[in-house]
Amino acid sequence: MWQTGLVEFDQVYERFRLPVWRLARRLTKTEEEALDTTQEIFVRVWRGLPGFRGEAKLSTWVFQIAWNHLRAHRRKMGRKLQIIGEDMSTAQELIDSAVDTGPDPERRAAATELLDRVHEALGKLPERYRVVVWLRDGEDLSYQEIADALGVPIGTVRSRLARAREALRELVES
Amino acid sequence: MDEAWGEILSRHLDGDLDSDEELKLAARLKAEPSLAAELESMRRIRRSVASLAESERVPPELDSLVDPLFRGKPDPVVLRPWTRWLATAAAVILGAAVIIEVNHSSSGPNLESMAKLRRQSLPAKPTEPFTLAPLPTSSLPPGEQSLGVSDRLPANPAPEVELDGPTPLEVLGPLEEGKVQTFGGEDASGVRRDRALAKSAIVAEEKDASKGEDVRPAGAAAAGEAVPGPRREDTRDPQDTGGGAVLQSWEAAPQTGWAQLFVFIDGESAWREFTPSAMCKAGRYSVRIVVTGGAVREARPVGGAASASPSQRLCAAGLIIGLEIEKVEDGEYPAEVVVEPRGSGISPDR
Repeated sequence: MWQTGLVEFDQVYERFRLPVWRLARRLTKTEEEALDTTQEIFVRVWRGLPGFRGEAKLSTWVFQIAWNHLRAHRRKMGRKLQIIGEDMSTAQELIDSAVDTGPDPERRAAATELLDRVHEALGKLPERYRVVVWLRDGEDLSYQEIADALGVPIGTVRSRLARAREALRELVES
Repeated sequence: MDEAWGEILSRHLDGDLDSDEELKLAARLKAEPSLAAELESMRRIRRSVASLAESERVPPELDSLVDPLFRGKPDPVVLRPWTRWLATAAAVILGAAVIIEVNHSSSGPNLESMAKLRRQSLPAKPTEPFTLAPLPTSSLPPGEQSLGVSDRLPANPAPEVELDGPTPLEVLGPLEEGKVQTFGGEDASGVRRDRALAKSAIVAEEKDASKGEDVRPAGAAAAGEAVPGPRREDTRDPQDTGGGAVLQSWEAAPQTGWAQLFVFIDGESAWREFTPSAMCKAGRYSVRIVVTGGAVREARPVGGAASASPSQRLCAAGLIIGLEIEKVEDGEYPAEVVVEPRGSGISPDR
């Protein structure tokens, strides 16, 4: 058991490996990059765990580390973070697995098309919008948790999320 | 759409409006069908984002990198007393063989000589130049080069005999913030902290460094040179470890682990020892490191099934992030972390 402080590493990893990987996947360009950054994030989580005092929610703390690392990764790579999108087979697999697989072919086709558009539109959103939409709608974090994770006031989260959703809607419907 | 109404729609989707605001919105939606259509569109997109998230699964490669210890791990086998005795004896014999093998190696740090140096009460000396010595296998093509002295050892760390159950990672206890290492203005968790805290962390690190962590040329100790061994004089009050850092004791007495980092550069090797803030299982771990500005900025565990478990490799890689290796130019290098067990008799904290 990896006991390093108030919280055990294996529990943290078990709980956050999927959300952290999903965020990394949204904010990096390739599957390999997403895996690498996720691993690096958990190295930092492991190192930081002895200092975790429980003053913030664990989820906020982990996402804070993830966000900081992904931003640093972007700076290192010298480019904007991008959604994975070049590997179309991966994107299509993702959409196929997310659509309603009910018996109505028309409905299913419409759902597939919408997901396809949303997936594509997310990749076109500026990073600061994409992360806030993903943390709220993809990971179901509260406004306060998002504010803490991104290090911005809660009012900024509200306004940024509204603009991000509006931008996403325009992109999807364009 | 008006930006203010856009925010109201967004907050409505999240249930963030109070009752008055909800009433106003309901009236507005009745009066303005286009706004209602926009709201419905935003709602469908929101559900789609959630569906995309729900559909994603962690790729198996990630687990193989990080957490195999915690997934599908069989219950430890409980051995009968005579089997325990036999297993322990085998482990001791194998461990002794490993130590003898290391001590007979002609290059790289020699554990016995290092221990001897530490036993001598020589005063701490400033850090020595970080020089490189040829690897014994440097004539091989880069892809076939082994990892220096360590390749004389089995790829696995010291044999692990599991008896009653998994042994918890021994830790020094929670560290105060002042002890957390900083990385370019961010602490170990990547969180930007108050400058004063960061400064105190740096002071604490410098204080630690001046107390005996060293960088030595590979091979010097093995050749039996009387390298004035850096010695951590443990005269500190356990409650006063510098920079406001308080190392809480683990089982009464403060203990530290001890480790070494070997860096392999163009067929040569260099190494330094350091005192990690927490201990991983004893063993040797291959890593790839990225050096920037004289310190390890990234460390990625590498190695196949013959090496330690990925979680242990991850642990070892985590230990060296931020470690100073001033004489190594910026770049990416293969490296190795050696973690010595506590109570091995060769810890610098003697």
